[in-house]
Amino acid sequence: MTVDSGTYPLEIFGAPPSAPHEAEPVLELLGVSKRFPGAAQYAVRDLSLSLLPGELLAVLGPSGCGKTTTLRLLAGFERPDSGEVRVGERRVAGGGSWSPPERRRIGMVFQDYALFPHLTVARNIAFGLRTGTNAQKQARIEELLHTIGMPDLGDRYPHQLSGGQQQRVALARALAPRPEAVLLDEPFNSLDASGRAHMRQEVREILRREGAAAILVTHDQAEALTMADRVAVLNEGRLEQLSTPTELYHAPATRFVARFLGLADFLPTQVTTQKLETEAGALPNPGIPACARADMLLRPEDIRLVADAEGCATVTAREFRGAALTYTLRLPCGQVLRSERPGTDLFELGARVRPKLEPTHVVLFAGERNIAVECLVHHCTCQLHH
Amino acid sequence: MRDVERATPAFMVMRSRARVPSLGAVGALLVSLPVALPLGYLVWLALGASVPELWTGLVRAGAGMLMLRVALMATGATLVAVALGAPWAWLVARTDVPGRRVFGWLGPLPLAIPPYVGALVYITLLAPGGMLHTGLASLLGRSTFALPYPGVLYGPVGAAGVLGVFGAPYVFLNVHGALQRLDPSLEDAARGLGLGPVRVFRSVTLPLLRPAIFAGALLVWVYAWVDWGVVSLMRARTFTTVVRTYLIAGFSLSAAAGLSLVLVAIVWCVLIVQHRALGRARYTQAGRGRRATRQTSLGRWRWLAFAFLVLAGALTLFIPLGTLLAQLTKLSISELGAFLLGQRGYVWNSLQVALAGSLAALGLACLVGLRAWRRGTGGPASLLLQAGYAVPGTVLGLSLVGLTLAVLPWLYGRPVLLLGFAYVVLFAAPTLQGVRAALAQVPANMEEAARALGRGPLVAAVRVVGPLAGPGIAATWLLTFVLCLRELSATVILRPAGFDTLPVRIWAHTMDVGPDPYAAAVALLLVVLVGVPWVVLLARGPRGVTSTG
Repeated sequence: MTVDSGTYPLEIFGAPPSAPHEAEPVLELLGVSKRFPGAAQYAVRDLSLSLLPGELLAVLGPSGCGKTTTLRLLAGFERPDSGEVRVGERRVAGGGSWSPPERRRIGMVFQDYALFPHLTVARNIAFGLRTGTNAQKQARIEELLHTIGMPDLGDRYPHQLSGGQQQRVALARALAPRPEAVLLDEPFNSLDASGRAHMRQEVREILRREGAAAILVTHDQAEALTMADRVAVLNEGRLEQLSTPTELYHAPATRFVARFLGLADFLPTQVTTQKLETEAGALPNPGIPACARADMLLRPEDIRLVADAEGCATVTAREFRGAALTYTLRLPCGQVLRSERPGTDLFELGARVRPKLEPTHVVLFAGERNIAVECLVHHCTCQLHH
Repeated sequence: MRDVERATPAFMVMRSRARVPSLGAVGALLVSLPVALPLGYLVWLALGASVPELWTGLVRAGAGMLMLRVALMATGATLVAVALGAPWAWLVARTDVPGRRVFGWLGPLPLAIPPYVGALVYITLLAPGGMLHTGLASLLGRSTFALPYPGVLYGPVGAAGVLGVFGAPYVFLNVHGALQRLDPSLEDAARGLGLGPVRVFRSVTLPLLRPAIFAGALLVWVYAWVDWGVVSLMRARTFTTVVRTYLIAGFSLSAAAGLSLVLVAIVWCVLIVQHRALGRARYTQAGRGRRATRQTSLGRWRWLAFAFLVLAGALTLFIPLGTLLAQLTKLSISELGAFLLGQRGYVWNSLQVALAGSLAALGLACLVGLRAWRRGTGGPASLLLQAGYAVPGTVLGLSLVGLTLAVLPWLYGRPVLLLGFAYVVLFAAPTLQGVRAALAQVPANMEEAARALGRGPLVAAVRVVGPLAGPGIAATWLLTFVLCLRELSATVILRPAGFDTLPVRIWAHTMDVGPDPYAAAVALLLVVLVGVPWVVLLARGPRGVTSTG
């Protein structure tokens, strides 16, 4: 089931900034399912997604969640068992129609770039240029070489380039025929950490300059959160949630999403008309209907620690992270909570502390799903909007 | 047969799951018809006789005894081949034996000498009245001289010797390849654990080499079963000679077919055993960046090792070539010139059929190989082609003769088509293996990248896959061409009267006229024709090597 923004009790996070709902999607999956022959499980199940013009949509999930299959279904390297794939107005798969990859006008950047090793950079970029005069093709190649910041390297061969350069050439090659959209399959995997951060910005910028809509497949939540306008979280072939990065983090629709994006602990909570009572303390009820039992989502930054010999929690682990420390606490019933504190907030292992819950908003789960998102602090709405 | 070693890594199988629409399973089965058809006909032929009839046929042919004798001969050949090939490979790869470079280079060269030429050479040398006898006689001042080994040269012992000597390169190539892929750090680790060089060799190197030795040995063993050229020249009685006798003498075809099927079954069993045994464990470890290995210092054994290499080189290379050349000197230049000019028709015949067969096999292999490359697995077509490879040439000849005469007599007068077809059946499997190895060098997503850029499958194949796999495919074609050029056992049965190829000429000369200088001249001609492409191939580094003659 799709959970899109707007189904929450309060729309505190607003609509995605760059996603006017009236715009025609450039790329669309409608209820697509795919199971590989001999596989017990569906690789992708009843998946619906749409990519809006100029948007960067991230498809995020753990390995084996079906995200690469999703990409290959879009590109035409796999046929869906059911459902439809659309490019703009055109149906390219499903309902008896089928367009092979070469007729879809979708660019693809492969995980290992798949640059043609026997062709120069310029001829790699030119490979997909089929129409136009030679002069027009040449102009397009130069334009792209300029866009990717490699104006003089057109005569090089792929093996003479660095990883980041190869990546940019792969992107330029995919963009050259001005496709409807570009698909990027884990594009930063083969770069080291510093190159990765740089290339994220670079790729975002190149896509913006070309005005191209793109889908980025990744298992790296930081990558999805920093780069994408919207993020689709996939798990076991199903869509868990599709929304803006902010909303995903602060109002996850399912426990899976909450856990997959950042650290998350779930504290059993009793909801009365006045209070939200937990083992680690109580919060005022901002208007959630009373219920016997729910779990409150707590992020490490939501929990402050106070040294207290009578405190209910014990420090069981401490992780040094430079500017910050992450503490692991155990409550009497065995429940574990994590708390991120500035590096100056020092507690010894085994110390008794009193956790203070200070979430900006309350997110409650019953079973797997989110049942309530309520703002606690008056100005939090404004913070989250911008 | 060696695809065990280049088994596609699992991740590639995963990635290339792409089902880019292609021929389809029906098409793949269609292209494997060349193999299925003759085999099916053979079964049909055998079924033409009732079971008791077939059984008495087999009994009358002495199939049980025959099997035992051939097995003994094959084992003898294998022992000779392993004794020559395996130490040769280890000495040049891992020791400081003098001349290791030269002998390393010479190791695979004897494959340019077809085994039946080897038989011709050793008959020329050792047969009564041969070079050795006359040489010794003139040395001793007698008119004749006979060495006391009656009946040893002609018969299973001689055949085993020749098959072993000319099978040695298969063992050499397997072991040498394995030694190069062997991660030297394994041996270093054993040294680090306190083992001396001899114990390292015994407890690490040798066990790791065992599969390669086994694979090479099995090639020789199977070859001894399916060979016809050597055994017929050496007058040894095996399945293939019996089948041919049946065929020529006009005995019941069904008995010959039954015998053939027994032979095919034996060969298939061996190949399946090999596949199972070698497929299970991984022995070779791909070391990242091949480091120079520490050489074992042989000390005072160096010159003994050198003597061994000289002996092995002499048996497989120097003596054969020297004998052929010595035979040539018996002819005057004008005689030789006139004779060779007279052979041009046979050269043309050979080139024609080899070209037709190798190109057809390559086309088929490319179709099946591309499909397998896209899907990541071989599928039924690959399996069937593999089965064809394990059909002895004699058996294939028998079934094709029967098939064409019964169904399409027109084809019998078209040797290029008929022999080309036979070569496709015989050599499609090694060709496919070479094509798949060449394609394996091309990342699976290269084609997808081309397709995503708006190019159709044909353009993708021509502009991306072709150039990338091109050199490997060209080398594969050359290898298949060489295999076709030297094919004897099926050719001799299938060729229409008057259409002789070089191998057939050599065989006929040796068989009918005796080892005269003219046979040596044709043999040298063939050795040059086969040897030049073979040296070109070796210059690229040894790749797929196959054994069906």
